[in-house]
Formats: sequence, C-alpha cells, structure tokens
Amino acid sequence: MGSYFVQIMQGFNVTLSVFVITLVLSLPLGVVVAIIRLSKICVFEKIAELYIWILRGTPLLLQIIFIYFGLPLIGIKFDRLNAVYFAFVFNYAAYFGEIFRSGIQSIERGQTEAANILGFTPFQINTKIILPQVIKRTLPAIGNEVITLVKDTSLVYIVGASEILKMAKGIANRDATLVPYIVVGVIYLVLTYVITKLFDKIERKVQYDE
Amino acid sequence: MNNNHILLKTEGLYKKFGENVVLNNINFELKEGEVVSLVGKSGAGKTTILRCITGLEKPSGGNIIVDDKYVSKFDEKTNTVVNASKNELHEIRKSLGMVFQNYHLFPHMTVLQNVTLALTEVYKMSKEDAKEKAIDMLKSLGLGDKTDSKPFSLSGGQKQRVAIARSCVTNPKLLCFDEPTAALDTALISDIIKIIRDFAKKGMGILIISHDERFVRDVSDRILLMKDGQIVEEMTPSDFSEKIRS
Ligand SMILES: Nc1ncnc2c1ncn2[C@@H]1O[C@H](COP(=O)(O)OP(=O)(O)OP(=O)(O)O)[C@@H](O)[C@H]1O
Ligand SMILES: [Mg+2]
Repeated sequence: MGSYFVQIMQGFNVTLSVFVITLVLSLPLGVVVAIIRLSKICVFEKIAELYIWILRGTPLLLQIIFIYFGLPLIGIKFDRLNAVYFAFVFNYAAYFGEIFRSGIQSIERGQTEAANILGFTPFQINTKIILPQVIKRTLPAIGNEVITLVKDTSLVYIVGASEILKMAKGIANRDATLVPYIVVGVIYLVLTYVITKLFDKIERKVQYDE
Repeated sequence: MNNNHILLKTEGLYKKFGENVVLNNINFELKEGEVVSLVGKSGAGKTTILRCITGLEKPSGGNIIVDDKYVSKFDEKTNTVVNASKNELHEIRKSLGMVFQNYHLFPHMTVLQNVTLALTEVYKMSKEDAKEKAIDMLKSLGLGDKTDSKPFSLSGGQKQRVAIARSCVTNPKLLCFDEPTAALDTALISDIIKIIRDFAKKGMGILIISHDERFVRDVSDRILLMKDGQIVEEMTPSDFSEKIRS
C-alpha cells in the first residue's frame, strides 16, 4: 500500500500544478470578469455575460477536449498541460466572476455614497471599503469552488497527462487490484479536508456580524 | 465670527427623472451657524435636494453653490448644466458632511476606524493624531466607551452618533441630515437637538430633512415647507408651531 502511495504521488506534481495555476490565475481574472460585467458599458457587459454563459453552461471536460483536440484541427496547437491550464483558468474565472459580481452587488450603495461624500477616491473605496466586505461575503462560495477544483483536476486524464488518478488507474490495471483507487480516493479526501479546514480558519478570521 | 457668510445657495434648482419633474425652481440660502429644515410630504423632493447638493445626483437646471464654489452651474449659452469636475467636487466635499437616514456605517470596521478612516486616507493625518481627534469627537458625543465596538452591536441612536462623528470629525462647514429622528425615541431626540444646536453655535451650517414636526420646531432657525417639488412657504419656528397646532 505504501508503495502504491509512492507511485501514485508521482502524478501529484501535475495535479498540484493544475490546482495552483488555476487558482492563482482565475481568481484575479474573476475579479476582472466581475468588474467588466458591472461596468455599465453595454457591449462589454454583454460580452462578459456571453463568456460566463458559455463557460458555465458547458462541461469543463468538453472545454478541455475542444482546446486540446478541437483547436488543432484549425491549426491552433497547445501542448497537453497548456491546453488544460487554459481551459481550467477560463472556466474557473467565469465561476469566480459570478461569485464576485454577486458579492459586489450585495454591498449597499449607500456605503459608497457615504464614502464619496467623505472624500475617498474610487480606488480607496474599492480597496478599503468594498473589497474587505466582498471577501468576507464570498468566502464560503469561493471555498466550495476550490474544493470542486481539487476534484476537477482529475479531468486532466483526458489529455493523457499523468495526474494522480491516471497513475492509480495504471497501477490498478497492471496489478489487477482496487487498492490504488482507494489510496487515490484518500488523497482527494485529505486534500479537500485540509482546504475545508483552511477556509474555516480564514472565515473565522474575517468574520464580523452585520 | 462672521455669521453672515452664505454656506449654501440654490438658484432655480430644477431636477427631473425622465419626464418626472421632482424639483422645480428651488431657491434658498443657508448661512453659517444656521439650522434650516426642509419639511413636506413624502415624495415632495426633499431627499433629492440633499443628493443634488452633495453631488450624488446631477441637477437638470439651476445653480448650487456650496461655500462659494459651484457644485453645478447652469450655462445659459449652451443651455446645459455644468457640474463640478471630479477634483472640484472632491474639494467641495471637504466642506460637506452628510448623515444618511440609514447611517451607512462601514460594518467591517470598528467605531474608531469608521471615524478615523477619512482623516488618515483623505486628509493624510498621522494615525496617532487621527485617533486622538476621533476619540475626542466620540467622547463629546457620549461614545467614549464604544470605540472598539463594531457597528452591528450598537443601538440605532448610537449608530447615528457614530455617523455624526464620522461626518463631523473632518470639520465640515455644512452638515446635512436626512431624517435624523426616524429611528430615535423621545429622549434621544432631545439629545440630538442639543448636539445639532452645539454644532450650529460653533458656526456650522446645518440642513435637515424631517417629517418630525416637534423636532423641526425645536431644532430649526428657519423652516421651509416643500410641496410637489417647490418651496411653498418659509416659516420661523413659532409660525411653524402655530401651523402644526391648527
Ligand atoms: N433615482 C430616482 N429615479 C427616479 N425617480 C426618483 C429617483 N429618486 C427619487 N425619485 C422620485 O422623486 C420624487 C421625490 O423623491 P424624494 O426621495 O426626493 O422625496 P422625499 O421628499 O425625500 O420623500 P420621503 O419623505 O418619502 O423621503 C419621488 O416621486 C421619487 O419617486
Ligand atoms: Mg426622503
């Protein structure tokens, strides 16, 4: 069992890099999507809406397949992992964008007006007044997405990249045993457990009553 | 002190939302140390006046002058209203304070942070000086023991006094109140009257919107009655108290 673990963990690099790169890029991109969606500039708003609709309305698996297997047919080629990063980052940015949008909209406009009259600049209002409240309000939803992301990393198998699930499947076929599936399941459970606890901790830290 | 300086003047102020005319030819002045109240039925346009004065709403016509600077000015040649630029408005707002009906405190900050934030961020005061000034202000409003509380834990009257502290700590010349007594009981109403009169004594100009006739009678120097977007009558407190009795 220990050796299964070691072998499966050879795929951990890929799993981890998909997870980290997606988070690091899609969170800020999500903020941008939310801002564009709320920009009140009709064309941009519509484009952002369309983007969100398509990316949330189709399976991530289809998006990965489209980019890795589809686009080369019209001459746009990505290597395996880049295709995966692309699909994941744009997909998750759409989800995060919607979460941030609803968070921003949930802050009563009166606070912005009060701050305007107090003389704050729009930048100060966004960073000192809106953002901390948006973070607090969206944290539970963000936490859910991050846990989904851990599990979604397994979709990478479709392009043949060697992440932990693919490693487990290889070993299971080779040795005709189901133990690797259990081991990989436990790895996902540990990861999601750690993330859940981490978000609990952050949530408690930014908690305030309203 | 020169008590004749005009802090606020509106000339032919006109505002419509779409086709709906909400303010029609509003003319009035407010001087240093003066407490003026706008009264009138719901929908008469009272809040809209405050929002135009503070630059939250753009007038459709007329002039608004705060502390000798134009918030908006009607240009006869082009027949359009020219509003203060962002920078001009920023300067004008240094003379303005506004206490909203729902206070709009920042819920993620303590009482003290609510009051110091503008001092440190807008007026670039040092943290220590800002804190000292804010604590003085909070103490003078009877909130000395609430500095570290969060807004959610305060009563309505306490929240209002935090909102007052937040607006007044930057020494505005003109302070506007929208329905200051809406959430207060009688004892708190006499407190707020005293607070407002104290500010006025120091030379602050105060503009109040209220439905509360007794409060208006007791706090104001002058009372303007609004009806359908116009000021139809100007009264002294004694005129007003006769009117409400009859
Ligand atoms: N943003 C807006 N868009 C369209 N119409 C508006 C807007 N704000 C106010 N109005 C209209 O302007 C009129 C005056 O509103 P205002 O809020 O100034 O009244 P008010 O005298 O403050 O009333 P109240 O005593 O109920 O607060 C109302 O008919 C209202 O429907
Ligand atoms: Mg009103």
